[in-house]
Parts: sequence; C-alpha cells; structure tokens
Amino acid sequence: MGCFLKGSRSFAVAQDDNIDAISLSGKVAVLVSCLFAFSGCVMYNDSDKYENPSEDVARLVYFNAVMPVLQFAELADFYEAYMDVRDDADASRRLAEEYFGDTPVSFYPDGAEAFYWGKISETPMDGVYFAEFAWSANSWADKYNVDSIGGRRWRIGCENNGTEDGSWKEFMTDAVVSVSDDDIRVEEITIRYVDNDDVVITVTGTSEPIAAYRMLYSHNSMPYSGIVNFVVSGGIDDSFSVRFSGDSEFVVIPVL
Amino acid sequence: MRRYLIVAFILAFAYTAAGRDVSRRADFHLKRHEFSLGGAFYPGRYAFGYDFDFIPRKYSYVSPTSISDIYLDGSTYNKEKVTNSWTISYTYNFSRLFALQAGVSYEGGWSECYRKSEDVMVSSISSQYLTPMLTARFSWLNRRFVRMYSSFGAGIAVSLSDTHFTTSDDKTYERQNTYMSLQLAPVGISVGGSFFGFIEVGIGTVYVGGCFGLGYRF
Repeated sequence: MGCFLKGSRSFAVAQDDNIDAISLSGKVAVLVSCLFAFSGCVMYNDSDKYENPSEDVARLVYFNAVMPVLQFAELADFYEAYMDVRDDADASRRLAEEYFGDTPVSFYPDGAEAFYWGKISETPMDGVYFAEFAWSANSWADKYNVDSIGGRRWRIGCENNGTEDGSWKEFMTDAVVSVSDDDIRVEEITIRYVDNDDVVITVTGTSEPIAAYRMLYSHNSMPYSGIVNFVVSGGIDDSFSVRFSGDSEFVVIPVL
Repeated sequence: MRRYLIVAFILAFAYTAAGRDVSRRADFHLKRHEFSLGGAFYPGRYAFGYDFDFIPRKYSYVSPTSISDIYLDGSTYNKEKVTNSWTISYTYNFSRLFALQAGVSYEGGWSECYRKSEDVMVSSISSQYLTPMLTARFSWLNRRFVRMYSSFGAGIAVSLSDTHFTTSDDKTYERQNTYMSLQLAPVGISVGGSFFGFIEVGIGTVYVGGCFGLGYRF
C-alpha cells in the first residue's frame, strides 16, 4: 500500500510525467488484457456432487405419503381419547398437551385441529373420520379417510385421480396403523403414485413395519425402524428398499 | 474487515492529499470526453441470481416437476458459464469534480446439462442481459495522471434470454424481461493521460467486486 501511495504521489511531481504515465498505462493495459483473456469463466459445476434418484424418490414419498399417515394416526388417536373427556375443559387441555406439546389445538363441535398435524372431523358414521391438512403443501393429497378398526388401530387412506393444478395423475394410500402410548406402527401400507409422464411409484410394506416415536412431526425425525419396498416403473425401471433406523436419514438398499 | 480499512485509508489519504497541495491542481487538465471499455469477473446479474430456476434441475419434495426429472437429474450434471460483465461507455466531464457517464453493459450466462455416462451435453439454457445505465461520477482526487472517484449508476437490464433444449422433444422457450439495475462504486482509480486504465471496486447488478478497463479521453 505504501508503495502504491508513493507511486501515485510521484506521478504528480515527476518532471517526465508522460514517460511514467505511459509506462504505467502499458502495465495496466497488460493487466486488463490478461483479465480479458479469462472471459467465460465456469462459475458452477456440480459434476462431483453425490446424487441418488432412488433416495430422492424415497424422500419424496416419505414426506408426501408416509408422514401424513403417521400424523393422522396420532391425530385420530388423540381425538378418540378426547371424546371421553370433551366435557371437561381442563382434562381436554391436558390431553392436548400430552399429545401435541405446545402446539395450539382448537376444538370444534364435530372435530379438532392441531396446528401442525391437521384437522380431524367426525362423519355421520361412528368411528369414521375425515382428516385434512391446514394447508395444502403438506402432502400430495389434502384429505384422508380415517377409520377406527378398534384397539387404537386405524385404517388411513386416500384415493385421488389428478389434481386441480394437474401436477400428478393418480395418488392412492391405504395403511393400517396402530398407536400406543410410546409409538406408532404402520402394520400395512400400500402407496401408488402416477405422475404426468405415467411414471408409477409403488410402495409396499414388509414384515418389518415402520415404527416411529410419537410426536415425530414436531421432533422432525424419521421412524426408528422398518423397511418398505419401492418399485418405480413406466419408462423408468428402478427397485429398492428403504430402511428406517431412527437417524435423521434413511438408508436406500438397491434390489439387485 | 481488512478490505474496509484499506478503502478507508485510501479515502483518508486522498482527502488529505487533495487539500495538501493546491498548486498541483494546476497540473490537471480537464478533458471533456471519455470513451472506455471495462470488464468484471463476477457479473452482477449472475451474482444476484439468474432466472435459471425454470430449468427442471432442482425440485421440491412436495411438487417435483416429475419423477422422470429426478432420474434425469441423477444421471446428469450442470455447468454454469458466464461471459463476465463487459461495459462500453461514454463520459462527459462537466467539471473536475462531476461527470456523467452513459454506458451499456453486457453479461451472458449458460447453464448446460451433461449426461454423466457419456459426458455429452443434452441441453443448454442461456441468460443474456444488456444494461443501459446512466452513472454520476464524483472525482475527489484529480491529478494530472491519477484520478480517484466514486460513482453511482442506475439503469434497466433487458434480458435477451432465449432457451433451447436439445433433448428429444426439442422444445423451445423464449422469454424477455426487464429489471431495475443499480451499480455503486465507492472507490475507483484511473491512471494515465489521454489513454488510461482504471480499476473500480463496487457492488451492483452490473458487477460485484472489481471492474477493470481501458479508456481514451480528449
């Protein structure tokens, strides 16, 4: 910096300013020419990035189709317990805290809504409910049927043929889920999703059911055990299994 | 932090140097007209984000473009190339302190998609911008061969983006947009007589970081 300052001052006082100036201009010209030569830089290159389409598909299905089943099972289990204490405001509040912690819970004459979990509503039939998300971005489908099959077990499903915005063609979920004081178990699950290119994702459960701790949604974690099988077909041929192990990520096992 | 200290030091030096020796101002000969050509490594539009988002390269968990795109994304990689930022300008010096500059800048960028297995390009998309800009320049050190200044410019960036896909469906998209464009150069230095070189430090939608160039004044 000192040299630079001295240099700039000397320009002003030098007797032969022109020579110095031309000399410096020449250097600047060389510098600028070199910079011009670097035109057309590659600013971004993701060729070395790890990418696994199977993992991406599994994550897509988990958040759009598996997670809602877990959430709505918890919501239904809560609502069934709430029905027994609904006349007692304090007991209802304590129950809501037990299930959902600090999450705001609203009660309606024919249903209840836990802010992140969604809303459950009664239907004219006993033990048959209707669950939906507070906002549509949570899942491929907004609305699910939730049927009580006794013993804190629930059949949860949806069947949709297309969306208003045309983002996919078909989405179907059918799952049997049991809820205990400690965890949620997906005893059976079948998912079928067809996108606009007629690529089909089929997910089926295995003898190792998905098991997750309660309040999974608020803990932002994955199920602690379970394996599900994936088949992707219709122009794309891919088969793999996904194993949950309680970490924040799951493991994709290719089918050879 | 160190960068800011250096800039502050230069400003302080320039201020004191300007006031120390008034007689040196007599050496300064005001030339009214200047033409210049400059370039910058880090183009501003790229720095603040090209609108490459409509490429089906990235997806959200909730609404992917399609499952096919996920597999396409896994089997390909992307390169983003830029031309850097180039500016040609004319400056009129109203006085030794104040000048107005009219310039046009260009920057272009390409996002190219390559298939990993064969390393061949399967699609390309480009963003091109022309930015006419009017810049006010305030010279706070004027010597015969050295000038230091600050400048601020405003203009409009016109996007000449056109898109072409070389994939099997051979789709073609075109779109043009205009954006507000601003450029601030707190410190610039030009060195030379009639022919001069200049370096500016600045931030804006024309460039971020440094700009370098050559010019002619008469």
